[in-house]
Amino acid sequence: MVAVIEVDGLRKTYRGRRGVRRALDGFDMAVEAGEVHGFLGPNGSGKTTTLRTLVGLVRADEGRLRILGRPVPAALPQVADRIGAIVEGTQFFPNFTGRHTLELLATIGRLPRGRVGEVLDIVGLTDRADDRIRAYSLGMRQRLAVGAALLKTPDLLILDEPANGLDPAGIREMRDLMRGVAATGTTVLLSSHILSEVQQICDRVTIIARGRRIASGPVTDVLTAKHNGEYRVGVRDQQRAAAVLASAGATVRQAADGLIASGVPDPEWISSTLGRHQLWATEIVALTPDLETVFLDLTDGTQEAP
Amino acid sequence: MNQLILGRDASALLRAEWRRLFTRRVTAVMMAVTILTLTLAGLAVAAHSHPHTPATLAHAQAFIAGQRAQNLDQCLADARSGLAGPDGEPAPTQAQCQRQAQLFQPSVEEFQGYQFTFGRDMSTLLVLLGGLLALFGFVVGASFVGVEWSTGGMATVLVWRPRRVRLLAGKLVALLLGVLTLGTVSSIAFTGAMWAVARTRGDGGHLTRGLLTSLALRDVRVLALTLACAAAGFAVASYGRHTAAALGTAIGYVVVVEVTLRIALSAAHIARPQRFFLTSYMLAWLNNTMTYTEQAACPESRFGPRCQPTTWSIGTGHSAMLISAILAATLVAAVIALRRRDIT
Repeated sequence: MVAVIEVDGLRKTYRGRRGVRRALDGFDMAVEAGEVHGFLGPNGSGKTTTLRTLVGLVRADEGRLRILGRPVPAALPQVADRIGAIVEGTQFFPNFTGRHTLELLATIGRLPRGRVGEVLDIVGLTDRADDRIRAYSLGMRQRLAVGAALLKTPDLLILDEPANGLDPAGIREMRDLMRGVAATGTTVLLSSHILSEVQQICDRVTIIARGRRIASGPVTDVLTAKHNGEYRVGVRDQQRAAAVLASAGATVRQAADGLIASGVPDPEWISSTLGRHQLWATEIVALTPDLETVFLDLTDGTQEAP
Repeated sequence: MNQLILGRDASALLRAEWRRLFTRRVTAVMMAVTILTLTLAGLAVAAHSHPHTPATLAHAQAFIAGQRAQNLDQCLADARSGLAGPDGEPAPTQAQCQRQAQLFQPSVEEFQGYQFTFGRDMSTLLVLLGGLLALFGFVVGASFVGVEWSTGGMATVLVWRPRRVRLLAGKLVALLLGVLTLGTVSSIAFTGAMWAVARTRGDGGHLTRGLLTSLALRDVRVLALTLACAAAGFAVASYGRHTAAALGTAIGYVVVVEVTLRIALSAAHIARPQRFFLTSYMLAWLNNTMTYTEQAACPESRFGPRCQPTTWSIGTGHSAMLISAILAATLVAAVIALRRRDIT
């Protein structure tokens, strides 16, 4: 696979009146072409700094960045037309209408005026396109920001918290939108706090904490890496089955919907152990932790100050 | 090929920023304020202007003759009394009174009431126009880029056009073209309206080539100052990343320098105090030159100044250099800040 985003050893320290803050400390990341890549991390972990560095808004102190095969920031102008991005706090002029805002961006990008109507349709703002942005809800502003990012029909879409401020229906719409964009072959880098969404739509994830990468890879690999051999076992004679599995070396406890056996090598071991005692499992389900559990485990559940 | 693409990008940016400038409420409000002020000035001139007629001429001549006789009577009375004047000067002689009466030859026009004379008065009105357009340019220029920084719009546009200096230059050029267009239209409209006032309520005179050239040159100065103020407002607001940075700087300058320092220099009797104020140089630029008289060195007496007062001038070249230097410094600071800054 071709890497659309390559980040190696990225370092960034902010020096301001309030002191020195190291935002990135040798961060690495690779996003491959055509994938939806989740980018996770607690507040203040360096996510937004990374995304701003990728689009040239922040200058890195050290490290190597390449987007679409070109070095950043030196060659960013050559690939900017192929990148759509919303970064934290994307804002527009409140007195302009949504349509006028997109038309201005389309003019800057030398895009046909008709593209504005298409994008408004995609993000579901056609009916409110001629209202002032001042009158938009937070969710509508988010959709307008996504629309602005989609105007260029980008090869790479970078979205920082696109579901912020959206209600459950809006989150679902945004998820469908991401899926639709990904289905066209566009690479999507998605930063989000809504981990269930990331788990549902992302192919791979990178998790960052304190400016460093602490996990990366396909979502299933990241989840199974944290799997501690725990299974839910459905069996009719639960009491006997528990005794058999315990005597074979597993740690067993009873739950409402079956036995929970942990410390076992694989499902076959459970099946054969029970089978030797004429006990037949009705189901054996690996209890893989969800992304939220893995995320909190990897980041120690910390939420650093932004 | 790259040059062609860059040219198209620049043209697209200019078109977008031009549209943004003319869609902005601040531009419309400031333009309305400028037009309203110019309209009020025009109406005030029209209301106070009275065309000179043979009747007003005869009335003025009679008034002057009466005034001359009254002055002579008063002077002769002083001569007869032999009393010294309030400042200690000796009483005049009868010969001095006669000579003073002969010297009293005021312009008849001055005693016919105010008549707006286009060829004479329009230059002064163009200075008023210059001041208004300079304010318009500064506020619109500051707001044009300041609001982009304060709302985060600049980051959005930089994602589309990452070449920072070119982006800022494109915005500045669009602003200057827009302000130049509005300034030129305002100036032509105002001059035309005042000529109509002169024709109906004053003296339109003859529009000679010399007069038109003179007014055109004055107009060029007005527009140049307007563009300089727009660029300065733009640069300071971009440096401070907020419209308020530019407006605060301007208000702070006026309060601290133009008001407080002016009072302090006057109290301390510092010679040639006008040289310390930017407004002196702006006026000198608009008027070609400004000549000031050092009154303190030569107090007035009953028969005029006791000595030849000292005069000094601020020339147009000096003014142009100072205004250009300030403008260049603010623009360079804005560009350096933009190049180095992390946009967070």
